[in-house]
Amino acid sequence: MLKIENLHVEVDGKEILKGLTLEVNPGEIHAVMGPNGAGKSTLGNVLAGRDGFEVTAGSIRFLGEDLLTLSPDERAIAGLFLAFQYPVAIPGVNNAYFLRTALNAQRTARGEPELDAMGFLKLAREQAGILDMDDKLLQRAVNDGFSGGEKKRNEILQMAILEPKLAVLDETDSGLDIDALRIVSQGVNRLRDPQRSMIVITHYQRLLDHIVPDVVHVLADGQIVASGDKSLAMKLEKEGYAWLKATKTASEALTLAS
Amino acid sequence: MTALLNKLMHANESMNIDVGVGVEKLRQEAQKKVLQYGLPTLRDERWKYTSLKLLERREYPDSTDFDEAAAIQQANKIIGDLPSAGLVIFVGECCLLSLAPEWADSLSMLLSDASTGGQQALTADALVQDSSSDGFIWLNLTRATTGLIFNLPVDKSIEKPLHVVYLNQSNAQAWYLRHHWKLAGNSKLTIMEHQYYSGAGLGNIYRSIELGENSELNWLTVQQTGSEFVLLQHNHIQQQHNSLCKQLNLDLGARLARQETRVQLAEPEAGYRYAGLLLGQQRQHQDQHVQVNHEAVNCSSQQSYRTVLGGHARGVVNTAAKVATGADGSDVQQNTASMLLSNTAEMDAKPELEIYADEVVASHGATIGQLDEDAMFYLRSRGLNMDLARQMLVGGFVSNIVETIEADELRAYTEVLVRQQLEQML
Repeated sequence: MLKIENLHVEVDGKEILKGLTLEVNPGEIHAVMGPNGAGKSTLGNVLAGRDGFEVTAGSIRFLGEDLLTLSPDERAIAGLFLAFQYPVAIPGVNNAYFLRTALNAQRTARGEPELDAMGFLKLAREQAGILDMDDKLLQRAVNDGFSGGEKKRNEILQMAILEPKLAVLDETDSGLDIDALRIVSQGVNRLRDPQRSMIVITHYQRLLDHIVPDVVHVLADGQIVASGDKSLAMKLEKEGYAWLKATKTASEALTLAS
Repeated sequence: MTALLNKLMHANESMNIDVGVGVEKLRQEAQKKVLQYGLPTLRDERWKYTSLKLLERREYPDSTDFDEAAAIQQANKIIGDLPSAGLVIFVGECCLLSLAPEWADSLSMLLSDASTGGQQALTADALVQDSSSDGFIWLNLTRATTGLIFNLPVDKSIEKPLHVVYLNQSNAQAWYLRHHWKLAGNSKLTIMEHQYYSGAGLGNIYRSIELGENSELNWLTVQQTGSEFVLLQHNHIQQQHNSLCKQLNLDLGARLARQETRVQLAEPEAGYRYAGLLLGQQRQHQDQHVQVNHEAVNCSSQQSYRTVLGGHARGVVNTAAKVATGADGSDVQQNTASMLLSNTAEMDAKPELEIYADEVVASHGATIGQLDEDAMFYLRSRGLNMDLARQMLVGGFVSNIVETIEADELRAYTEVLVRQQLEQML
């Protein structure tokens, strides 16, 4: 599904990702954890194709295609979805209209028939219901005046409607209280599918109690420094990222010694 | 400038008709004022953003050719199936009417017409006592012979809009129109103006509007004249107790469009709402000035503008409000937001508040920005291509202006016009 090899990324001339390698197979959920400034959000933004993130070396292949040659909209149409850490408010643009336009842009590009307004509204209401999201938010301007929790639900609603092949959830848990976290996680879990992969970027282990990953990666200083199963997340939670630094230094020392 | 004044004072003389002794006297007075003040220049505060050089270079030949059938066909095409209580078509300075029965006896076209109030209207013209030093206003009075003149009776309420269509069939002429709209107490009216001039002509339109006690005017203007046309407009609105004027302007066309509106909230509880949308591209120059004078207690005024400029377009928005001593309880709101789509577009926003009363709520704000890159990325990350994303963002930016139109059909109609214009610009 996704193959990232030796990815180097600069932002404003400063190297943030320093040789990141990651492979995600269909149906897998990968968690990417790491301390502040490790490059977690950079990874999400590079995958979605945001300007200002310059890839200086390495490659990203998505479903066999070179992802880096695609524009952000082409990536979305290819099946990539980024749930934003900070969803953007767009005053004056009706949420339902925006989502329907997005869905139909993707459908048209894939040669599928468009969904009409009635059909779309039925789908959107159904999905909003599952996320315990007020119907009225569909008729408001996109994220405008939404609470933190409402914005995050709106991201997952978009994901449910757009049905991506690979979803990148960038700190979806931030700003959510315990109940909202549970509902949003349930929404995400419903979208688990043997053909759909997810990368869950998070700072804390608590999200992973709800969305159980197949693989946990630790990102530090622009590289994946450790990978393992869910127990790795537990260990991080218990011992903190300081443990990681110690380990890294020890392994470097070991490498040097050998 | 004298050369231009000379050209304009004698333009279209063949249209001159006998206006009667009373009006002729007024015209002579006005002519003296024109010569006294001359035409405005960049040194005049209100004209400092708008040069008349373009007008100086042009000639304004006479023409009275007029194809009635073609004009009616064109006007009907513009209005389509909008609800209508009547249609008034101005082809240059010639006029055609098609009215619903409720308009009988209350409407006239000739300023010289004594029987239907044209002469009285002109004699009572607020400007005659007014000390405006804008030469174009006086020039209008010396030259205009036609206009839409009515006196809507007490308690009369006409639900469907009266449509006024402005056209021309000759390429480069100068036209003068002078309207007098009077709404008596408790009356209510919707006017929708459609300005579709073309060619390299000059339109000079003056409107005097009087709103009686508890009356309400909904006034919507779509200005979509051709890309070489120059349109200069002045409005003078006087409002009595508890009257309401809702004005909406869509400036989508013209090479140079300038409109100046002065509003007198002369009695308590009068309200004025202005919503304006300027969409400029290429070398368009659009200049809007609104001056609201709060002269009595508990009056309110709102001015709201959205401007989107691309190419080498230039926009000017001057919102001004003056609250007189003793006009307590006034509520004044102004906001202007502008979006520039190119590095060569230019916007001048000038909010002004002048307050002499003690108990006043007033706010003003002006922002000028570009397309929000974060928002663009957000939309594109959901599969919208660059063009769709831009259209959606800009459409959202201007949406709150069109949304102020209450009547569904009129709102839907204007939404289509705005969308078409934005598609062209983006």
